Amino acid sequence: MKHAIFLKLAAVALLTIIAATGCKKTPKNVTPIHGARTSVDGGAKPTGPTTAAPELGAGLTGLPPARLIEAAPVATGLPPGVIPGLTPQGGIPAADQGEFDNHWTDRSAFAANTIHFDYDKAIVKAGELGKLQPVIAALKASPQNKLLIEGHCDERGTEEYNRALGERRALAIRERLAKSGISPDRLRTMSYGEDKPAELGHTESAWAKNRRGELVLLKPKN
Amino acid sequence: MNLNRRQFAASLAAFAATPLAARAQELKFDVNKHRDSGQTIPISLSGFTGEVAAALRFDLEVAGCTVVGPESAVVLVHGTNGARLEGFVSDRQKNYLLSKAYNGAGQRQLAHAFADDVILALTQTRGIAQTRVAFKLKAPNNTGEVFVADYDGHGVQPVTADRAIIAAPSWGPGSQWLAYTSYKLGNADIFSHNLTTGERHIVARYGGSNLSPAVAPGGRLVAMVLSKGGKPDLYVADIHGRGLQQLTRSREGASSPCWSPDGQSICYVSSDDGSPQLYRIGANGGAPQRIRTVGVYNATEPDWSPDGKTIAFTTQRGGGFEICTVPAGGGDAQSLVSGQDATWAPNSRTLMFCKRGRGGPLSLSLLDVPTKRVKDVPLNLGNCSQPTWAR
Repeated sequence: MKHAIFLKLAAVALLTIIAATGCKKTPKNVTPIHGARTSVDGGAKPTGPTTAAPELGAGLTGLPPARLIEAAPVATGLPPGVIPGLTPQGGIPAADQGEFDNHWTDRSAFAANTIHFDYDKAIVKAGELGKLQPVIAALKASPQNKLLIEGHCDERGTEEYNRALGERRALAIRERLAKSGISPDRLRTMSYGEDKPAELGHTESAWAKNRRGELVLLKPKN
Repeated sequence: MNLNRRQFAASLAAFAATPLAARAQELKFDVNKHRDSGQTIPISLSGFTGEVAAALRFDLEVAGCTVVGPESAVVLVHGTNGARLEGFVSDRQKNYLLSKAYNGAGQRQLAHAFADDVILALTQTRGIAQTRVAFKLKAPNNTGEVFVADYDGHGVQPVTADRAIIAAPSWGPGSQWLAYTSYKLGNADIFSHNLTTGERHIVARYGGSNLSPAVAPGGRLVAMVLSKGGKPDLYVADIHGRGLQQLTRSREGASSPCWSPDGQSICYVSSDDGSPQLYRIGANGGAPQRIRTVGVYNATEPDWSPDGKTIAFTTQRGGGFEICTVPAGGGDAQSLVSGQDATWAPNSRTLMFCKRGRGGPLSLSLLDVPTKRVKDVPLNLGNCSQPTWAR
């Protein structure tokens, strides 16, 4: 009963509103939207549909080309702030990138010494340690040479998680070599995450090959 | 003539083509309650043509509407598009909630502006039809570039031309600049990139890898993962890389940081407890706290919603990835849809994420979280991943 009364009231109210306003067909206010969106470029937008191109972004225009403005803040200078109370569980600090400039890269020297890892693990397995022995011997025999350790993952992880995991794998190899007497300042690490698979494919066999640390010999150019 | 929401809700109920007995219940119809409970709003769309009609339909469907015939719609959206766009929103009896005309921009922009007004009129919340996203596009030779586009995949523009591996774009506030990782200089380094001028600065180029930049809400700070100390750990610096401060010193390292919208906390991933899990740490450091994700056993790639309430993340289950959400304080994880690496829209309701088609490339999709409806972003560029929403 109360509902019925309310319904009637609502209907009367609506009819009043309709009577007062009519059914407008034409809007009163035209609102121009200048720069409806904050444009990031100010240049022309591509007009046609974008299609896959051999070169990424070929045919698309707009943003100005990137240009590097300033040199890198490097690790020298003020020491980084460290939060007091952190448990000292970190590993061996990295040498600056500049220490590895002006070197030839030799990917073949240790091509047979790639270290493989278990799924989601960054531990150098006992069975893989033997492959590090010739590397240790070569680095000890040629103290002027350095080593780049590249960490990789299979595709069964998200991208940035894998990028950190690849770095942990490279660092695990670095720690092993350091424990065997190679100065960590001669050892550079780099993570490729899942971006450079050794083998394409979505099988356990392909994944096992992709969970790896590749060792690249660095020889001074002079 | 604008009706307020209560009047409009009442009018919808009063004139809905439902039997009398059902009307009392229909009086409670509330667009937002309806939407938040996981139901879509039935609307009709008429009068628009071509690109405008398509863009409008896409925008309104992403926003939680279903386009139906006028006989079953509770909201009628109609109008015309020519040199200018005229748009109207009414109930079935032509009581107007919105009546507006638009000009001075391209057809798609007019459609997006009207779509946002429709959503504002219906839900009193800001629409997302005029927002932008950035993402990574990967080439067959494993190099990639950062691109920006409208949220619906149109207006794609390349940001970088490095022909190097690239990763993890993150917007600065105001959508004027991005931070990302590029291997352009032979190492994984972090750059900031002004989209207007093309100016690029190095944020971090330390020994080891410099990964996963996340620009803080105010734009003054960047959280990132650096391995200079011997483990991939979480650091914060200003956008020029100055004032570097180490926040974690973990056994297994950190990955994929994101900020709380108030800039007070950082959520990141660590495997210190055996499997990848979410942690939260103060932006000035302190003891990390686990964010519990009850019901899932691993969690990566978090993104904190702009309203601060929810964290979206990716879990791995049965050989695939799933997008999940969890209350920001931790609690029951809700699995939403297959996919990975989700980013929140400014409305804290829509997610963009990445999924792999059957044997095909990675592509981007949109998810309306309450209704769990997915719409693919019509990009035809190749492997698109790591979307990040400007907000």
